[in-house]
Amino acid sequence: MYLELLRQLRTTFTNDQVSLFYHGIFDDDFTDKFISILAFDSERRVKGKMAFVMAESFQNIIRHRDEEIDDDNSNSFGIRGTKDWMHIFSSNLVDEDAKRALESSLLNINSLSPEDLKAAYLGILKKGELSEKGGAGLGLIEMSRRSNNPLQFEFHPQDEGIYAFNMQIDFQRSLEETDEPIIDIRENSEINDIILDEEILFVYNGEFSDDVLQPMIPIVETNTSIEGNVGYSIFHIAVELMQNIGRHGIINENGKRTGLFILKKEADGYYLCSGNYTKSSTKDLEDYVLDLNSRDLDYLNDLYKKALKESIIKDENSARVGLIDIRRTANNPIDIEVSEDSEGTFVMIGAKISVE
Amino acid sequence: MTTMNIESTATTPEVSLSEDGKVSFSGKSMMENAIDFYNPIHEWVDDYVAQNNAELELEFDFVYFNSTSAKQILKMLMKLDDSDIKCVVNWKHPKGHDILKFRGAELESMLNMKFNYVAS
Repeated sequence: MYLELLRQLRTTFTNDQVSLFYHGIFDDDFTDKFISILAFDSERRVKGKMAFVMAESFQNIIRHRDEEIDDDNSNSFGIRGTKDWMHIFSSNLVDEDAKRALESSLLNINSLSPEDLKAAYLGILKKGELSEKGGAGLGLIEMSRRSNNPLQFEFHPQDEGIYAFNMQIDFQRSLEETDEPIIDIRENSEINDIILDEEILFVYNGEFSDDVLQPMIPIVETNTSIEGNVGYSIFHIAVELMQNIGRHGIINENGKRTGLFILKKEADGYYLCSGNYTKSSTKDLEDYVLDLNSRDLDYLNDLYKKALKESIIKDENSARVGLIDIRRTANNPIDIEVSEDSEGTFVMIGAKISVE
Repeated sequence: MTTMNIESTATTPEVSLSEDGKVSFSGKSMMENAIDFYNPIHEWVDDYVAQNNAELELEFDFVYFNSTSAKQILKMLMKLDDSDIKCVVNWKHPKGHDILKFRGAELESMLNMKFNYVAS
């Protein structure tokens, strides 16, 4: 039962308007998709700078990945947007030499004034001192200039001579002065440890609409690139869980339906779960799911047909058709938890797809 | 009665509704609001049923459809089932893709029309 994980991340992201951590396949094509997913309201001036830094951070991971020290995927990328701040986090493995060079560059960059940074930037451009892999030094200076804040970084020792290099760039989203504190990189490093330990490929907390779903779906597809029936089943459950939030979630004060979605890898399959406040009735929902869990596939297929036909005759949009469909498609019991708090009724649903 | 063509998008299928009695759907049908997308198609089917007795040939070549699309597809087919129009349904699915074939057979079992299954 991984709903505990969803609960934990939900608590961590309580004050976030949007949060995303990614630990899947790093593909250049995803840069634009992440920017689209996170294309929420920010000042136009800030938006452009953020898109640059997001793209630079994401591509840095691809560009600087050292396959000799990272034969398994140990990279991750995260974004957290609060009311006034946007935090862009990245983590990848580096060796001792790279650590030394990065540490020295970052300490130097953080000690420079905006004017000195500009001079350093122009100086490098003039001399053409770009690193072999495409100018990391220049990239760091440019990220620092655009964020207008010190670059947060940490090195976590891994195997001998190998370090996880965690970096965070902090942007103020609003143009007015703010007293909202910047999230410390240590908090995001802790989330990152959970992401890596639990093999969470993708977690997203924020608005769910077709506009967000469109760039998200190819990311899910690429990370579960299994042909045929199993691939279809994973894809289907991802779509149903995400659209369930868009359809049955309550509209928050910003006029959006929000929730959380997690795609997690397991040794023998994938686990998908979602959570959202709902406007739909949840009376007996847990008992209903328990009953579905006790039924065999033939029963579920018949029940689905009855529920689908009934929803046409009664012209209603019942979440239960979707639940039956998730249960029979996963062919594993569904996890469900309904809880009440001052905001309303929060529903968490999870299902595992086994891969032989 | 007119011919209607809808181009596909990342979440909606390509649809062709021809006044000479040929209807086809292909691609992904996974929009969040399936009602808005399928309403003009239901209207076209209503007009066809009201104005024709000719056979209707329907071809479905989905690579994916979500549960709300399933509802709209069934709704359209139920309408035709209740009419006097003879329907020929060709349900395409990728070779070895049991789920897509099964989902077609499932719709067929809720109707009084026969589906032909074409593996491609």
